[in-house]
Amino acid sequence: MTGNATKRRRRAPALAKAVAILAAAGAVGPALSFVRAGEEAQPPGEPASRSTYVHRIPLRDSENGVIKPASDPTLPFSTRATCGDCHEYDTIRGGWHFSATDPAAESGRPAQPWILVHRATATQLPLSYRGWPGTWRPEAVGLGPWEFVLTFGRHLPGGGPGEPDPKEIGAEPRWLVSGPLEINCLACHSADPAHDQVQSLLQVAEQNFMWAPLATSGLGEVHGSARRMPDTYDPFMEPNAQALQKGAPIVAYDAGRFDAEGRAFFSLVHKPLAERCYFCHTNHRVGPEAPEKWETDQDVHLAAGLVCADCHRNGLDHRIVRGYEGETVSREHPELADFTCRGCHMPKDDGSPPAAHFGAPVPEHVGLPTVHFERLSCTACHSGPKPRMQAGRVQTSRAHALEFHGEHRGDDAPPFIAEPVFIQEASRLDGHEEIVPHRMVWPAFWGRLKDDAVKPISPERVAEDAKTALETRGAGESGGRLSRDQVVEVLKVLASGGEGEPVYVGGGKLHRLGPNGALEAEDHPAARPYAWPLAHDVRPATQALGYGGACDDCHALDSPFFFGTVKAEGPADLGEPRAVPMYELERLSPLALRVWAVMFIFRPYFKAMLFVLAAVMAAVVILYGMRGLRAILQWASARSAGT
Amino acid sequence: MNAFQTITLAAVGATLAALAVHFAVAGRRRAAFDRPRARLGPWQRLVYGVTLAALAVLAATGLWAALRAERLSGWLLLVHNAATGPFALGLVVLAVLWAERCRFAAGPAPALFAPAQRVVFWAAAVLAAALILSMMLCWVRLFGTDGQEFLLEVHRYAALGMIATGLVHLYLVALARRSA
Repeated sequence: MTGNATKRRRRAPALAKAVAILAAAGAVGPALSFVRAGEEAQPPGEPASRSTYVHRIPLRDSENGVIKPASDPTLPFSTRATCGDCHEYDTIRGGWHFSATDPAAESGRPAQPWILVHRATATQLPLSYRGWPGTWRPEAVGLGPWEFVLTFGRHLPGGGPGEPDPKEIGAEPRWLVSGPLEINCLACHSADPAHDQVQSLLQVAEQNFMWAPLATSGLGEVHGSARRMPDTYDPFMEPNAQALQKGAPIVAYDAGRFDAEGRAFFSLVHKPLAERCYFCHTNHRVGPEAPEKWETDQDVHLAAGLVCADCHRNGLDHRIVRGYEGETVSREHPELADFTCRGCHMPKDDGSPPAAHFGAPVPEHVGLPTVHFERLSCTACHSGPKPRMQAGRVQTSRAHALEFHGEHRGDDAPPFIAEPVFIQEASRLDGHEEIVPHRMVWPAFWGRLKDDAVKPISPERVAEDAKTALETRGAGESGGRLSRDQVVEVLKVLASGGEGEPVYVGGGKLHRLGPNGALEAEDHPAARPYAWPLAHDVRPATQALGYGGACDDCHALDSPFFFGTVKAEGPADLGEPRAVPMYELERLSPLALRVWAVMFIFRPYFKAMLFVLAAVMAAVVILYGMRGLRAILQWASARSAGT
Repeated sequence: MNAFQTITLAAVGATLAALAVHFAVAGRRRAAFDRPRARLGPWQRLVYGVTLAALAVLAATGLWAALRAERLSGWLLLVHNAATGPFALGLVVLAVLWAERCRFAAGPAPALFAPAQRVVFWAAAVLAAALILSMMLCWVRLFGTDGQEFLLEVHRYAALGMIATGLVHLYLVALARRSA
């Protein structure tokens, strides 16, 4: 190690330079602290060939120094420096996965939020930087970028809050110890079976942000923890003996992964494998009616041999095609319409053929009245699990950390997300109303009510202020749900401080203390659920609702599609949760639906009657038509004979 | 405004205008329609009345959706569907009962219906067959989306024709009552 000390010390001015630049803050751009100190290489651009480019490349650290495993390097490789040598990093940063914190970035159709879960305080709160209605900005509950990355970094692909602006870095000195959480290109593009994205969780937990890509790549190992180091620790310096004793992060590259010229081989693919997408985008049904994993099929498109990125495409800008109708409106890119269900599978309105990527079949929809295409999204019949009388519970990668072992999971682990929930909403394409399947989460949080607006309180703050109330009577962290009495006690504690009346939002209601000290529940906009459309897994046609003329999949008195319910479940036990019927969310009249369903009971007889009537009418018309024709012929014949 | 909205407005407007012109030109001359009125028994009156009422409901619900450029759905579709049965049944019964009396014979008129009413009758019969069949075929598993769209178009235009025919029929009935 000593032999490399001189080399490492040469890096010290680079850090000093970076800190000095930080002091200059906003005048020089957002990611300044982490740009390469060396010269900017001119990206040569991506090869145009469809063949896979073999990535045998030199690794570069964040100071743009080439990493030689033989010289016992200190720093992990930087994706900004290593990958950015050829692929413009700042262009990629504008991509959908990385742009959430950019106020200028498009927000697009509401999607799955980050859900803040704090079991002790019975909190489940949808958060997003994108301003989707029903979500809260992380700052609302005291999550700055630093706290956000620590909370959700396990599934962040890097970038966004992981590369905060200098102002934020100035406010949170730990960034200088952890380094940035750069975009981990390998998280998506690695085809290496040894790529271990789980390492990302471990590194983020240890505040080893800038070490995360290396740890996941398998090109080396990361030991130690930036979390244990003081705010004054400089990770760009070689750790001294004291620092090593404390457990400063160090790297150990696998020399066997480098060639004689010190270049590392990355097994990369342009189109990410579905396995990589699944790390953050898996949905797992739980509950008594949930199937075993082996009983489930994957999306029909994947089963047919496609990968996610075949439809969810992008250029270097990484503005991935999301594939919903109306995306063309926000992105002004007409070709995007070809990547919606309709665009790919159905002829266009002008009769021209569909895009039919990969030979996508054109569905016949035999016997299906066309009104269904206006009133329903394609996903309503084809996507997600088949509806049940009570919407099922689903866990997702990002909400439940499905990729990690531990006690954080289990069927009753919050947040409680329900699917499928059918909601009528305006199409983002042309505004027409259609029913779309969603996943739904009911917010549960503590807040203060002032001027009829609820402002959330940080769950950490609640846990601190009402520690005794939360710990007594055995719920909270012990695994049980927060009891009604506990909610009352916590509200009493919170009433003694702060501005505004303390409230607990949960189970679809706002709860407050009444004049007699009892808990009172009422409707409030802050208690409304947040829902986002679900599109996958797509079921094959034979498993679609209504397939084979099964009208009673929906048009029946016991149809989950209209008469199923979704429970306003939350982490507090406030009595039987409210069950909201689908027809309410679909904004349809239950009476009309029932009458309609009853009509379908008699429909076969009605059809038979109409068939007979149509036959009789046709017979009358044909019979007398023939007679009329005969009369005309006779007349013509007589006239001809007369002449 | 879509093409069908325009055509609907034009067709209904043109029918009403034609009837108004006809009334202005010939309708005032009682002799022009001075024919004996058809005498209907109580059952026939009932069937005739129900059929006309059902047609009115079907026309109102259908026109409401067409003029708003919407597809029938919800309560409107329920009511529309509910009126289908009485209309189809009534019209077929009337077709069976009146066909012989409405036929065009080479010789003297075989029935009490005026020639214009007979034309209306046969137009209604043909359009009714198209209306019922086009909807029936949508309900059976024979046609895909293109076929369904075609059948719906047939249904819409046949319905429009039926509305025009109904207006002419009512006009002729009114004239006949006036002349009686």
